[in-house]
Formats: sequence, structure tokens, C-alpha cells
Amino acid sequence: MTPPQVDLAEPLRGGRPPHLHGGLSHRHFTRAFLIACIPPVAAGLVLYGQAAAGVLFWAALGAIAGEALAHHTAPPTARRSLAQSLLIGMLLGLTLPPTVPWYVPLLGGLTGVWICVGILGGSGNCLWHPALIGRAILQLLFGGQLAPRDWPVLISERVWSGSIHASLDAVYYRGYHWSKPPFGVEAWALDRPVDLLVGGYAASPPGSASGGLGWLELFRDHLPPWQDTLWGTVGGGIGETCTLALVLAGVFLVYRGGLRWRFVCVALGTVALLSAVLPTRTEDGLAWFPLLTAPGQFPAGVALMLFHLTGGGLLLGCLILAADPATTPLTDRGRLLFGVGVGALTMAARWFGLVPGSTYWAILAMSTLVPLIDRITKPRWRGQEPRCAQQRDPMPRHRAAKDGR
Amino acid sequence: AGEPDWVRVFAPAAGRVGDRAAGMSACGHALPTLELTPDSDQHSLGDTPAEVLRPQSGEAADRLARLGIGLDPSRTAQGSPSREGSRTWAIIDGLESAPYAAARTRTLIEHPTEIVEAARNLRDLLRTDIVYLAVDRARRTLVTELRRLAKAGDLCPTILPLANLYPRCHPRQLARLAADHNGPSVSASSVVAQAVFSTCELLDIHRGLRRGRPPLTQTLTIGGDVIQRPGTYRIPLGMSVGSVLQSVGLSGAPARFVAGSAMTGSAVRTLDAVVVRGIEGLFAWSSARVWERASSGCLRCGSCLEVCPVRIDPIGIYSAVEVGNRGEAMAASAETCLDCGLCDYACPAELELMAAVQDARSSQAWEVTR
Repeated sequence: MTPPQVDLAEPLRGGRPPHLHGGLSHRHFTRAFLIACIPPVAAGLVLYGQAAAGVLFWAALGAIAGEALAHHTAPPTARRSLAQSLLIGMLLGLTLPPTVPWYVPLLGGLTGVWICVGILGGSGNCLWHPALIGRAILQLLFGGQLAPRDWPVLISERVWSGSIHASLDAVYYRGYHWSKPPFGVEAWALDRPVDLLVGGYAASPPGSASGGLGWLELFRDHLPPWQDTLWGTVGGGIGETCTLALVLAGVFLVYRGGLRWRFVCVALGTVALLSAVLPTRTEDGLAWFPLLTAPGQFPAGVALMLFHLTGGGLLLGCLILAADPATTPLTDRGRLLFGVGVGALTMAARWFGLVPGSTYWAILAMSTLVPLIDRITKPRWRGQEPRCAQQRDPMPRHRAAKDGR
Repeated sequence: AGEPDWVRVFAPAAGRVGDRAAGMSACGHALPTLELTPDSDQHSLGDTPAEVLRPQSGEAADRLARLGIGLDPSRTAQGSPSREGSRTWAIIDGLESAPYAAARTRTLIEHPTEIVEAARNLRDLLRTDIVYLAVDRARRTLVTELRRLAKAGDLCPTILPLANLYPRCHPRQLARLAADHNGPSVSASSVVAQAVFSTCELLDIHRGLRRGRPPLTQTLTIGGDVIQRPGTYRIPLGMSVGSVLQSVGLSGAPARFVAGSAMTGSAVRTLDAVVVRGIEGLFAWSSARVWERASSGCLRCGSCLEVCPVRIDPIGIYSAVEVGNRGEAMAASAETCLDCGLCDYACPAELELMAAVQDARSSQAWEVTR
């Protein structure tokens, strides 16, 4: 028998099984989130022009500076990457109003990344989302600037290029597409829909845009048409308002495996349910729209629910920020609990008018509970194997033709 | 019948199917079947150990012995439960869910009539109550053909069309799915013995008995990016791996060479290794395609929990083993692990989760035997 004549350029390598990998990596997640940020960032640039570009730039710069600062203090095991810092800066910028001065996003990005990476050990070790930590610090330091009285949006003739500082406070605003601005005005100074709802709830909440209102005046005279929230032409943070862009980002993240659609359904469903069953606190007392109905012809219940869903930071929080795998529970059941918690805490914060940016605080609070949720929902050994319930293909990438040749 | 959610399978805790005795080859126990019996050092699981299926008639046993077909003697039964009202099963595995593997399905597609005939012989030989034939349910033509063939006889074997998901080719998963297939009418706890054969092994047994000579070949899939003519081949036992590679041709220099499944096989470091029983695949990858593990810290993504077919907590066990918390690792059911490697496959941080589970399992055995 002839000896084998096989050319071995290098000695054969050993290695423990398995010999294949599914291809998921930290870079995969970071890339997916960076791509998902594109639609809301683009919407923010269109709606708020150079001001939004400035905020996003300073936030990203701050995050990268925080990364550089963390180089000296981070534990050796901390996962650090420039792309991750850029992502954190972008996400922080998306939650901020376009009107904040340059040092606010810079400081937010720097402190958020430095605390999470430099002190707590980076993604996987840090309980909270770095962008939300940065935002929480900013809210403590510059609370008024993060919840301004007026939220400007560029008029349709001056999108991309206009200045949000040449804004007009619209007293009788009939909606973005139906209102004609006078000459020289480049932006509408609007209210954030959710702030108006909070103002309707509490007689004089801190930092709210208006005093208490009767529900009919609120819906008829003060809130914009709900369709405006789809395009984002309402007041709000840079990445908060454009529902279509956020849904696009969410669909992409679900497709790439970063976001679980069940979590989104549960979180949004909780908010929808609570807004449908909770009474509304107005100047005239409690107004209740049971099963979304209202006296007269005005569909106040439906409008209330829709504005709660799309008029604030809920979609940005649930579709992008709460999709971060490192700060959410490990199991699907845990993520459902997390979703219920985020929805309920968001509604509680709005109902009592506690803080602006209720969803962000709700996510931070629920992230704190993640170890507890994991302990409750992790699979437990019950003495016997479970049934073979796995229905999804765990390795679609490596399924080869089974016929052989 | 009273266990709708949890079905008993009398399977070894750590008697891994991949763990073949090192010296087992063509000359010794030529055809070890995959048998679900407890290992001698595992006393922790299984209050009623499985009975080993052995040929009941002396003549058949003699014929098998003459052909060199035997069962691994190290896997001995721990007791002899009453057979009254109980059942014995044999499962033929035509399911091919490991990536790139094709030998079992290929054998089934090429020789359906012979396989069905062999299944009937197996039933008579081992006197089992039921013989299942597991087949990929997506192959509708094959399923229809096998059903037709089974119907032509006395409805043996029972065709078990299953979703072709890794690691359902694992004998323990197959046994569980067969129990599920029965529904609540047949209590799985009445099954006292189960044996799992691959279609390749079964065909070898069948031909050996028919021709009266021992099976001396092994059907295996050869693949990988440096193989010129990948495919399913019948290779003589004892042929060296270098000769096999030479026959199928190489288009580049292999960096890693794996004998067995791509998920559970072992890396072979010399081309002088020979083809033995139980190897159903040979894979050669170039350095560009070979996966070199670069572990980093856990991302907390939950992928390992999601893909685990037996619903254990690989990352929990990994953390416990890392800090030396043996008690927690024991409590975390490391012994249920199938060693399928899906947790490592899915982990974005490329952690050595399966190795940690095996570590936890061995430490548990150490505690028990001590």
C-alpha cells in the first residue's frame, strides 16, 4: 500500500468540537444597531436640520472621548470598540431635543461611555444602557434644557436647511400640512404630544407645557393631527418623533435578530391597554373613555391611545434602546416581563407626570431588575428532560444539501 | 400516561453515544449499535435502567457472532426489569440533521426496499415490539414511498416523519420523539429498552446476514472546502485517512481535519488515522474556513438558552464553573446535556460553553463516586 501523498502546508490543527460557528458576533450586533439608527437619524436631520446634525456630532464625539478616557480605567476584560461608542453617542443624540447647546450631548456621551466601559466593565457587565445613563445624568444636570417649553420643527419649505431658531409659537396650529407660516419663519415651535397629555392629567406638573386642560379642548385645539406623528412633524427629540423611521429600524432589527417582536408587542400592548382603561385627569375632574369611546362624535379614546404610543419616546425606547441584548433579560419569558414592566412604568410616569422622558427611565428601572427577572425566568431543571419543542432551525447557515452526491 | 409534559427516557446520563471504545474497529466488535444503556459509573440518573436488547434466539445470536457483529460488552445492563406489560423499541435513524452530513439519508434514498426489509428482520431478530424509522418529513416522496413499502408488509417499520432540526439525530432526542409520537395512549415509562441504529449500520447488518460475511465497509460523507469531489462514499474499514483524501482529491492544503460530525467530531492531527466503525463523516477545511475560537466576555444575549434542545442553562453553568461553584453547576443539570455543541455554535462571544458543561459533569461524577 502506497503511503498517502497529501500536501500539508502546515501541521493539522487540533481543536475541540464544535468545528462550526453560527457567525453571530458582537460586531454583528453593533453593525445591526448602527444600520438601524440610519432611518431615525435621517428623519432627525430632515426635520431639524443643522441643529440635529450638531447634537448628533457632539454626542458621538463625547462618546468617543469617553471611550478614550476609559482606556486608562477600564478593567482588562471590558469589551471596547469605537463602533460601539459611536452607536452609544448616536442613540444618546436621538433622545435629546435639537435645541440643546453643544456641551450637553458632549458631556452626556462622555459620561455615559466612561461610566459604562471605564468603571462598570463595558457591554455584558453593565446593567444599564450607556446612552440612557448619559441621558439620566444630563437630565439631572440640565433638566430644563432636556424638557424645553417649545420643540421646534422645520417648516416643509425649509427641511434639511432651515434654522430651528427662527421659530414661531403656533397658537392656532392646524397641523403641519395645513398651517401656513408667515414670511421669515423657518420652524414651528410646537408642543410634545405626550407632554400635553401629561399636562391634561396633572393640574400643574413640573416642566409641563401647559396647565390643566379639559379633554375636549386638549384634543380639539391643542394636539396636532395624529397623522403628523407618523411623519414626525410634531415636537419631540431628534429621533423620537418619526414613527415610520422607527418602525423601519425596528423591522430591520427584528430581521437581524437584535429585537424580539414579542417584546415589542407586549410593551406597546401594555401602554395601549393602560391608556384605554385608565381615566384621564383633566381640569374638570376625571374623564374616562371606556373601551376607547367618548361622549359626542370626537374619538377621544382612540386618539389618547395613539398619542400615547407615538407621541413620545416610547417607540425609540422599545424598538431600539430596549433591543440591546446586554441590558435586557436572557430568556423570551424574561423579555416579556421586561416589556410589561417598561409599558407599565412608562404609563405610571406619564400618569403621575413624574419625569419627562418616561420611557427612558422605565427602561433604566427595568434594566435594574434584570438579574431578578433572569433568576425567575431561566429554565429550571425539573428532574426530567423536556419534550423536543424546538421548532426553529438553530443553524440555517450551515444546512447543506442532504442528498450528498 | 400521567406525564403530559415530561416523558421518561431510559437513557444514560453520561454514556455518550460518541464515546466509542478506542480499540473498537473492524477486527473487534465490528458493529456496535447505538445503545441507550447507563454507564457503569452513573448511578445518579434512571431509577429503572434499560435492558439491553439482545438477539433472543440462539441461532440468530450465533449467526451474528460468526459475522463479528456484536454489542460493546462494556455497556452492560444494570438490572432486569420485568417485561410484563412493557415494550421494547428499536429506532432506525434515517434523519440527517447534522450540518453537511448525508450518509444516512443517502442510504435511505438509495435502498428504501432493503431498509424496510432490514427493519422487519431487525424486529424478528431482537424481538422488539415496535421498529420506528425516523425520516425527514420535508422529503415527501421518500416518506410516501416508505409508507407504501411498509403497508405492503405488515406495517413494519412505523414511519416517523420528523422535522429535520439539529440535534434530532441524537439517539436520546429520537427516543423522546418516538415516545411523543405514541401519544398518551402508550406510557413511555413502559418502554424498558430502546436501541438506535443508523440506516447505514442497519443496511450493513442486513447485508452481512444475507451474504453470510461480515460487513467491512463504512458509509460516510466526505466534505469541506478543500475536498475536490465531496460526497457520500462507502469506504473499506481500516483505510487510512490519507488514502481517503488522496482518492477524493484535495484542492488546497487542509488546516483542520475532522472525523465524525462537524458539530461533535474530533479533530484528527495525523493522516495515518484509519476509518473505523461509527465515523459517518470526514471533513477537511482550509485555514480560511476553519473556525478559530476567539473568546471574549459574555454578551448576555441569551442565544445559548434559546438554542439548547434540552433547555438547560449553559451560561449559568459556565459562570458557575468559572468561579469554581461546583454545587450550583451540579444543580444546573449539566448531566442532561446532549453534547450537541449548539450553545458554542450560537454564542456570539465564542465562549467554551460545552466544555464547561462537560467539566461540570465530570466534577459531578467525581463527587458521586467519591
